[in-house]
Amino acid sequence: MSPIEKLHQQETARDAALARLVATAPFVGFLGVEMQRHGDELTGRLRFDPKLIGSPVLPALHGGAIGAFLEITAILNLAWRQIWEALEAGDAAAAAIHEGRLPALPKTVDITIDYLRAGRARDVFARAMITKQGRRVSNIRVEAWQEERGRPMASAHGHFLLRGVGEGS
Amino acid sequence: MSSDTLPTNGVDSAESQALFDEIRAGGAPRLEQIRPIQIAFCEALGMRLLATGDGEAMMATPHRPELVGDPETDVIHGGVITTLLDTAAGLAAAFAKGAPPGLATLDLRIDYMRPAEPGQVIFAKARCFRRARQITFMRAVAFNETEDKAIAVAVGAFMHGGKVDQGERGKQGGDA
Repeated sequence: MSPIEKLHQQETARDAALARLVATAPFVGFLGVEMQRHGDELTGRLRFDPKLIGSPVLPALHGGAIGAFLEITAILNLAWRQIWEALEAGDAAAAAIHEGRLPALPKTVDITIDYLRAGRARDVFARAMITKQGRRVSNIRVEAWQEERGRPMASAHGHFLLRGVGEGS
Repeated sequence: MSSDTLPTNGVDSAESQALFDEIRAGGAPRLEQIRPIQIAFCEALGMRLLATGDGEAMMATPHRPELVGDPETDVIHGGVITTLLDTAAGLAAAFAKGAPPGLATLDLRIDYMRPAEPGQVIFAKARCFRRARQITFMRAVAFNETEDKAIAVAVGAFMHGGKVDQGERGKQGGDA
């Protein structure tokens, strides 16, 4: 295999693993959450849908939908980090991932959501930053925005329990 | 009990308990008989308001396959719990006697205690913890059977009246 073919295969495997990860939980698809990858960085996107409305006054998005989107972005970012590191290491965990067996999703211990601005009838974007990656627990921050990255509409931080390949809940 | 006459004398009243028992026994089909809330996202999830009181609200949400978080355990996604607690707390704050119209969630913290029972209706009770002039502090619990076996507990601060920032994130207190 040529070096270019090898790189292409690597990118395809990463895309496949990410797609499988996002498709794991039915609720993620129901809510309409997508993950866009730039290298190892993910940006979450909550596509606007009338079913996400909380109040018809503005109309404004439901705070629960926004909170769920932030939580999902956090969990998928953490799981993606686990998958990425495994793929890079090329170990047994990587082999499992290539076969479609992903590590169990991280579990939320606690999450605090700050509502900063009303969510409008548009797509919402979110990025997560792992503040502290422990062996078992991660502390992660998420920010969400719509039209202006510099004026976030919500942010969240929380603790998540990490789980390995083949581990039950 | 008529599906259109919801208890309004608090989440711990005998009437509220009776309705809770009915839904616990009847499951999702019984829950569906309750009048829907006029909040689009709650409707999409099948969420219902069951009882209210002075600064109190009891709600429930059914198990549906598209709302599952882990297909191996069939447990409902945490985001549904977040929505249930956020809505219950917001409606409860709006139902507080003398509360001005217009309500915005400032923050909401959720602690996850144990997984929800797969296939079971999830209930939530929200109560006002402290009512100040502009801010109301709420507490809410999500559970399947009893509050002391909580799925999640939440605390939140809500601001009454006026604009928070470029328009209110209003919750429809009176329309539920």
